[in-house]
Amino acid sequence: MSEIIAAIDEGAANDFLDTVVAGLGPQSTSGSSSLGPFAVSYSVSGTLSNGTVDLIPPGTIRIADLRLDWSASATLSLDLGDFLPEIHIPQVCIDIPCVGTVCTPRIDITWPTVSVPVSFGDFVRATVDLGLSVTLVGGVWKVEGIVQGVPSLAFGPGTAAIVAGIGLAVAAAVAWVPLIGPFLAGLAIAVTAAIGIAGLTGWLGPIITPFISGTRFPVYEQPEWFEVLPATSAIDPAVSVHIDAVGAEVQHNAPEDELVLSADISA
Amino acid sequence: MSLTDTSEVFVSVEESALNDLVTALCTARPHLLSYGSPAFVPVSDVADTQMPPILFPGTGGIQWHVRFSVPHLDLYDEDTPLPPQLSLGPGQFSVSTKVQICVDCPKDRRDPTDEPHDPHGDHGGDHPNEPNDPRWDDKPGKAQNPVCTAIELYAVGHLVGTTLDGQPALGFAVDAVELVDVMPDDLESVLECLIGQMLRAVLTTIRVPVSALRVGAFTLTPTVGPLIDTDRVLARGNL
Repeated sequence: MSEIIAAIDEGAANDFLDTVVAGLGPQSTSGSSSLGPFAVSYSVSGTLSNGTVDLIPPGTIRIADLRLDWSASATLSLDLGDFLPEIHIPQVCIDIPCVGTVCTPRIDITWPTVSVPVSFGDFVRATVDLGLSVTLVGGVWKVEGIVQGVPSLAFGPGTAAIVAGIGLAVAAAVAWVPLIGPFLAGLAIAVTAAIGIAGLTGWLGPIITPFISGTRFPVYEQPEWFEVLPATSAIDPAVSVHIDAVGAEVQHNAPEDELVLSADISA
Repeated sequence: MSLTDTSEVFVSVEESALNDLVTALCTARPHLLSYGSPAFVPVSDVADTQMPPILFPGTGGIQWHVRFSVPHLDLYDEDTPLPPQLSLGPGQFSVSTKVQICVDCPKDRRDPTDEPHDPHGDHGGDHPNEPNDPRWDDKPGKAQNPVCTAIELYAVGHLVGTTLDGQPALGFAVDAVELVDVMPDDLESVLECLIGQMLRAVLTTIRVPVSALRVGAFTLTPTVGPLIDTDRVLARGNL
């Protein structure tokens, strides 16, 4: 039996993880990939907020509705020719008496490739199961909750609006292109269709999933030489004890499920 | 029953761990257990606390030194046998320690030709120090002729909630004291009164922060305890 036991019930675990998750701070990543038919470079950041904690013996902390608020800034590389009809005005020749044959030039409009910056954001929810990991590394005891498996993300209701918003943003960004005016409305629709909700979530999922699956939730962290009292003067030096062992588990102690940490110490 | 019961947080500390905490405190800050006048303790330092001599006419002040060994705690129920005069009830702890009391008896007041104090010399029965016991470092300082005795001491007491630097802490209060092998009885009573007061005073300086009871796990604002359960201290409260 361990010398020291500290336990919290499920309600306290919920409050405790509120604090833990709030302390994690924002995460961010950047890179380049494809969004639908477009090449895109992006930077994405996300911040977690706690859900509802369910302690499951012998070693699982389930967090339902863990929420990730994310925002993305991306630059789409867009070849307008992929969306707009080619315009060819053929050469027209007429014979003019006393002048001869006069021809208009052949006109071919080639739509440019443009870069369009867009920004958007929303949230996702996921239910994650955390396993408990106990380590002693570099003289520091750590108990952490580590996400088991790859969580399934539930995107928020704003995802469809984001796709439409990207289409409109693209249309607005290319309004300067000569002769494009009659095609702008169609362009927005075409871009929206090309990306699609599934395309957006399929692009975002692999980017923001690590924000959740790669997070280690700190439950306990103390140096193995635990400071009982700090030094307060030359004759009152710091007082420390050695933490010899640390354990962590979820116990069912009727009627409660409890998160239990245990430790052995020596002077 | 759940550990937390109707509270959010539960903490328990076995008596072995509590003794480790007290030992760590007394080892790092031995001056908490050692008090003496300038002949024995020239200056307060990490090892000793300097106190005034005992004023008495014609003596120039009686030089003295009192040092307790690191106390050993036994939480109810009784694992460490106690003298028959003491009993350990529910909610109580017992403490066993040894107290060394020294006074300086300057020989030059009796015979100025005597040699100065030799701490390693043969002092016969006047110096029942224990030179082979590392806890009993005969530290005469400027004392000319220290005369010492060591007495085994037992006490029972109860825990008290207190604070340390504004944080909740565990304190120790003495209910009864018993000396071992002191005769006659009225001398024992006098010494028990005297040493009991010293022990009470010493134990008020030994406080263990609640944060140490949980070695930094979670947070705890106690609403129940700290109190003594069987062979352990427990507390419940909120985050």
